[in-house]
Amino acid sequence: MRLRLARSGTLVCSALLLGLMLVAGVVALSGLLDSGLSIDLSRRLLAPSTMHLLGTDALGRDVLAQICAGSLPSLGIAGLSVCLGAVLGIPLGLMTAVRGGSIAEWIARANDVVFAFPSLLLAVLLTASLGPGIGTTVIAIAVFNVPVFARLAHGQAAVLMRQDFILAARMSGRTHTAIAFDHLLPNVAGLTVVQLAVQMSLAIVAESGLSYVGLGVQPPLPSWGRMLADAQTLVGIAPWLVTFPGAALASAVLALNLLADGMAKHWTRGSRQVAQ
Amino acid sequence: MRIRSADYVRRLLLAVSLLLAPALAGASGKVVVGLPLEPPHLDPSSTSAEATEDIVYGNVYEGLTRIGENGETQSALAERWTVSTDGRHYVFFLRKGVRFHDGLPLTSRDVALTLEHARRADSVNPLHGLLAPIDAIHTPDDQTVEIDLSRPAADLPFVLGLGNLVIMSPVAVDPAVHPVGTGPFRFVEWRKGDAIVLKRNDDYWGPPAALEQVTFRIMPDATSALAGLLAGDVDAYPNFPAPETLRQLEQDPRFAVVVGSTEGETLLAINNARPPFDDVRVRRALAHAVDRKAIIQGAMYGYGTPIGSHFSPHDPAYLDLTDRYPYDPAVARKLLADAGLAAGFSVTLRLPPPMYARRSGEIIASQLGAIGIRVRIENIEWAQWLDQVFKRHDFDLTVVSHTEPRDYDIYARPDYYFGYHNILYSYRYSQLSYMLDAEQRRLALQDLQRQLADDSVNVWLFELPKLGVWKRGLKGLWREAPVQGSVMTGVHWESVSDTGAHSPAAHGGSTGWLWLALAGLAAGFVSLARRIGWRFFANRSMSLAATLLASSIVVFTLVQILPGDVASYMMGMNATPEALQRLRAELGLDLPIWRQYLEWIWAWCRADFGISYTYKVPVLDLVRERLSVSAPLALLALFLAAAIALPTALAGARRPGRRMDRVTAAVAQIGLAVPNYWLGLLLVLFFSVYLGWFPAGGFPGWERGLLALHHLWLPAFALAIPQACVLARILRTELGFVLEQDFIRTARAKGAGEWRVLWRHALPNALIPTLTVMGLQLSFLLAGAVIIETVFALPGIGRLIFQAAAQRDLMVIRSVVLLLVATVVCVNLGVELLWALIDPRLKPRSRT
Repeated sequence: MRLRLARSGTLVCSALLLGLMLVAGVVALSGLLDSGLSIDLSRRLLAPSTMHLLGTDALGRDVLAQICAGSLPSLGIAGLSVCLGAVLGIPLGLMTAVRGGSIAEWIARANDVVFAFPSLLLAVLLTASLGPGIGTTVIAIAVFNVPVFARLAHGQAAVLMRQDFILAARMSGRTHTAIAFDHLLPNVAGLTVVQLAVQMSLAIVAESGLSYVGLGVQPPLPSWGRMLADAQTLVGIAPWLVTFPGAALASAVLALNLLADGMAKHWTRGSRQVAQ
Repeated sequence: MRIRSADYVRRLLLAVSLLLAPALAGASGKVVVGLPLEPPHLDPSSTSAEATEDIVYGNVYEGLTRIGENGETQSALAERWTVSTDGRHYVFFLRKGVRFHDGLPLTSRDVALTLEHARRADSVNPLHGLLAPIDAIHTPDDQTVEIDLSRPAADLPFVLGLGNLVIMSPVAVDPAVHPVGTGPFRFVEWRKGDAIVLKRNDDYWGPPAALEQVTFRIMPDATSALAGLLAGDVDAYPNFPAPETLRQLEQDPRFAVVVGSTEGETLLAINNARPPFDDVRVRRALAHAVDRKAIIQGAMYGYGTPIGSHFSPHDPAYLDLTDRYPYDPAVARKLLADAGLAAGFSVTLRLPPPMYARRSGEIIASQLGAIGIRVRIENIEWAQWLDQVFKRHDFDLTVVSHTEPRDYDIYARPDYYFGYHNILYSYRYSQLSYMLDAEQRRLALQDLQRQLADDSVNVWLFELPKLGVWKRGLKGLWREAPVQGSVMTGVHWESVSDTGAHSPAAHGGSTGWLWLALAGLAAGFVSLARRIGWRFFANRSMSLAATLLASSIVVFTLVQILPGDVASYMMGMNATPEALQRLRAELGLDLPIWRQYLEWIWAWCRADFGISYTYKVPVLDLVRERLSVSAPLALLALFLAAAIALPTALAGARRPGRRMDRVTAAVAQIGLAVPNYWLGLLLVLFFSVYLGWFPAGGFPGWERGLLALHHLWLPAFALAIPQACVLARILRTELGFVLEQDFIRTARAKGAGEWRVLWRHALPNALIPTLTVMGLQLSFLLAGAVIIETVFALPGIGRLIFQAAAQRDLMVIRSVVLLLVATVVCVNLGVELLWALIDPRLKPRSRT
């Protein structure tokens, strides 16, 4: 099993890339890159060179340092909001699958409402209501992840509920909660982890989009989305300000997608083995 | 060879765009002027919104006097005026033969009516306070206006020339959306979110304007402003919002860059009433800690004059006080230590949206950090700024530009947001109005400036520059901006050959097609319902209604808790509490919450989606206007996505697992990871900046025929590519699944070629789930394109909601969001019904 995991090159590469980004983020926030992150008007808008590998921005901050510092907010917000969505959504989905009846119906309706909303616009409204900042960004993104995980867990659990081992558990008098968490949860965990990675890649894009329109991460904390927004009018003068932060963003998303694909493959292969 | 094929693609796209494009009428004497902000409405007597005056001042409306380019008071509707020796009695003699645009002659009664209206106790005129000295207004005959004052007011002729005291037609039906004045241009139309059009007034009393037509285009951000200029869609930008691009424009032989000054004192405003800023030493420490030169360099790219007090450098009474507190962090730290704050402290810096504020704020935060003040930046919208900072004085520091001319009275107001109280200053200010002697007045004004600097009320940063950019052939635009306004009277093209940008003409529209579509939809549902069974249909419709009802509550609550309110946004900085209260009552905002909700829902039930608070037009009209951009964009993107996805998936599926399959899968994987707005930026960089094939943004309107389509290609591609990757993956998976089925083997056994098997047998079966996804994508593309709309400055649905959220136009947000939700729910229902129709297994139990 370990061997097969290692053999999957893309899986390892993408995991390494994400790890590298996190490390870079921690290094940046620990103060090691402060000279690159501080405003220095004497070195503004410098093209990429050996001194500044990816150039500098309009206020003389090093682009590479900013990308490093921006990775932790981006990945952190995405991770937090998706986990929040999963922690709320999965029990919801499992419990409704176990109990069935009118509660399930009500929760399905509530999910419909959230799904029907144009997600980005609702996030815009939420952040406008609660004031921009990290906390509200997390909430605004998490809101859309709750129904995703609830549906996923519910759909899988509903199939499992018809299987014999659940019937056995019910016959032996186990409570709804026990069935949900002891029997259903381990069986939906695999797909859920895959979905976590997929949702996280969507959440990174959402966070950068909110920051791009000025509602996400607030200055002086760096953010990939805001770097792109600041760069927009400078496209003709300083193209490196547009290309590099966007490339960082895209590679993080790509890494997460590949991670999800790899895990999905690994997981389905694993389960087939069990079936055999 | 490669270049030629690229060229071919380009020509092909251009040809498609130009196909059927009507001959462009390039008459000279037209000009398109870019404006950064859309006005809330066009009645300058009840708003201090700069955008309103930018359009109507001097163009549609005139006052008794007017302010010239260099701030001098000139005669306008009043030919001349006299003042008594005690300075308390003015007589204005009106010009003869002046007519309003509706043909009625101007009389002294119209003037008296305007002024009486403005000085009434319940007036909402922003200049209400400045009219306080007026005792009585008489009109002895049609051409004479006499004004009696309770005390001398040397400023009166100047005040009467300001933009809020222009003379409006007394019989105009709705001056908020259709202004009727006496100016050299008459109002023609206002396309919300896009443009306002004025035409020459041929009955003008003075020398007629050289221009036949002026179109004010709303270019909401720096990117679209630059794009509009470079693409030739805009001829002039009197107040260019992107100083960082000026150097680039200066080198461009097509444009003239003219830097003048405004009346905008930009300052780091301090809440003097809140500790520790109630201590003058702390405020002085801030003044020493802030390096104006660095801010002007960093935030304004060197444009802007440093100031040391609240006064315009171009005023004759200006006193240069920038050396009063030289930049010196050491002195600043010592002052803080003297105040007992050696350890530093934390403050919040609230920044309104303009670039000058956001950029200066970031630099100020780092400069204050150097003396131990920890600054937390909070970027807020104007509506929030007006509410929190201006109205409720809930702030530590903020950066803002005060653009009213001669506004040193604000420091004498006890309730102003700085929280500054100095009896000596108030006294000196009140003495000013008695001073008719110019030299005496000048010295008194300098005393005021010195007093403000001594008290270090705020940290004055710089005088906001007026960065004008326009085509070289265009002459007569103002360099300076002594008042808010873009006076177009003397503007003309130097040579006739330079025709200027094409301004969009009127587009008539009706809701007819909307009702037709709804009727068709309903008929479709009925026939579906008959086939599927009424109970199933009723069931689904009930749940649709329930979803809508729940959504309406969510939207209503969400919008209700938005901080800030629309009334203060509409009335601006000088509104009195009573005026705000009246406006709120007028809009129905003073009703209890549940009544507001019920009235909204009841209106919806009657298919009345409400009237926009700020625009004062039906929400449905706004939606229709925006949909004319959003819907074609979404459809184009969807079409492109399908056009890309279909061949890709087929090519991959033809030989599963081979090189082509792997390459397309990898490309789709990468395409999925690229956020569409970054892709948009890259497309701009490559196709607009380097190749110059496509405009970088903006939308000229469908009147320019399919040339407008040219503006939609890049955003449509940016939207389409990630969607295409999703589609390609789904289609490829489905194809793979279908290709393993028995009937495919049969087809192959019959000897059908591989393409034929794919095309005729596999594809139709794989398309069904793909079409479902496309249905969902369409609703995403309609509503979720807000960021792409921002990148390309397109006036679409997403931006409408975004803008309404910024203006706190609750009615627009609520109704448009609910309309979108209704669309999504209906599309979902449609898909579900279609499935029920196709797949008998999905048919509900209720039928049996």
